[in-house]
Amino acid sequence: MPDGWSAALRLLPEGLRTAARGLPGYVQEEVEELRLRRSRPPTVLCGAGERPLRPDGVTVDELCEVLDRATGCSYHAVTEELRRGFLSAPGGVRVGVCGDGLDAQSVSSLCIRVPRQLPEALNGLPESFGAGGVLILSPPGGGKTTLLRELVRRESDRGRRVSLVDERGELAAVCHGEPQFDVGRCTDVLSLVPKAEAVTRLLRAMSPEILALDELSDPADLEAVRRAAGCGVTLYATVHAAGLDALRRMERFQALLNDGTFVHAVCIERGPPRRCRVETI
Amino acid sequence: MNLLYLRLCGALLVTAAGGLGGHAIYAARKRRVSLLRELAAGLGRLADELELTAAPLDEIFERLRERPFFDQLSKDFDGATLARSWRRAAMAQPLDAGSKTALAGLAETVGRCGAGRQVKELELVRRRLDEAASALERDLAIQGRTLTGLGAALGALLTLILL
Repeated sequence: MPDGWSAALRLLPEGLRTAARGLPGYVQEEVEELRLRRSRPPTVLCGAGERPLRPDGVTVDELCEVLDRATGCSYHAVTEELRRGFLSAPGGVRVGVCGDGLDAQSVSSLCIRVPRQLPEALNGLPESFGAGGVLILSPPGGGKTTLLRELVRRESDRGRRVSLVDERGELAAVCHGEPQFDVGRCTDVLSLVPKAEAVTRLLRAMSPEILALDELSDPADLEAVRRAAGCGVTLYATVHAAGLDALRRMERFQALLNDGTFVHAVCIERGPPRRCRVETI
Repeated sequence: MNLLYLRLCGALLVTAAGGLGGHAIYAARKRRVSLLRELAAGLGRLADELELTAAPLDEIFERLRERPFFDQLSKDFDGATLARSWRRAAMAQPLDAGSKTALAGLAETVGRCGAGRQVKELELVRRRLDEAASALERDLAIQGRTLTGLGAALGALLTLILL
């Protein structure tokens, strides 16, 4: 399994890498993101917020080199991903890209998300959720993806057939057909396909017991998920929301919350320490 | 009599050396024309590959390895420092300063933007190299015989001075 921090460091130019390696060990262990903004000091995001990596601003050349490393010097081969605002780099690292998107020189900021496999993310959760669907909620950066990955791994290793929709290549980080993260022995992964389309394909082709997908938001995705639940599949999914009450106030989620697709809500509360609260929908 | 023969042989050799010197300059310029044509054709192939396949550059360079410039790039390719390798390879070419700069300038574009823009920039430099080759060829057509003749004449002049 990859060491997410090392994979993230491999994307950095020499100067930035040295600065990142100079961080205290306990900080390196909890870095969630590296933020590189043109002409501004680079920062790392940890539990306590953003802290500067060095006083000097990030140069255009440094941003270009990160993109060179993330794209294998082939920006043209990932234009579709770039249009969606992110890149999946080797080792399961996701790079968020801001700028006008036309070329590497015009990129204004990059967000390198450090992937972590955290079996302890399941601590405090019930041993089993039974047959009901599970919806994981938290604001951005709360650890939804990590928790979903661990839930998938647990159920899969128990022998349940799991189909995993990995639209952004972040959940399983498949590289040359091999998931870079442990997502369990009975998991089938469909990567880089829009969620609604992926759900239909997986239902037809893989007959899953559990269907897992990250960051529900588009009406088309919500509809696909309801359709899957109607076929008797258990859904595990994540959504950006501060909590269940906040989600209930969003109109597009009303039908999904009322029709029994999801039975359990796992609300992640940002720490430190980070805690999970399980509610019944 | 022997001395006269020796002098005549010496005179012939010096004249021939002059002619050969002139021809060597001509041949070097001709080689530069070939190099310019070769590089222009390589850039054309790269543009075609980008346009038709949009494959990652390591794959494309692998397909272009029969061309020395791309063979070097393929060997140096590490997925991180292509701009540096490209610039280094461009500056190592025995070309005029303008052609070198144009070729090296592609380092900022190749692999760093969408295929459309890369193709456009490659096409511009390809045309520039082709034009430089054509101009050099035109000069050579005029200068070729002149250079050889001038070399021989200089050799003859030197012979007269030495005699």
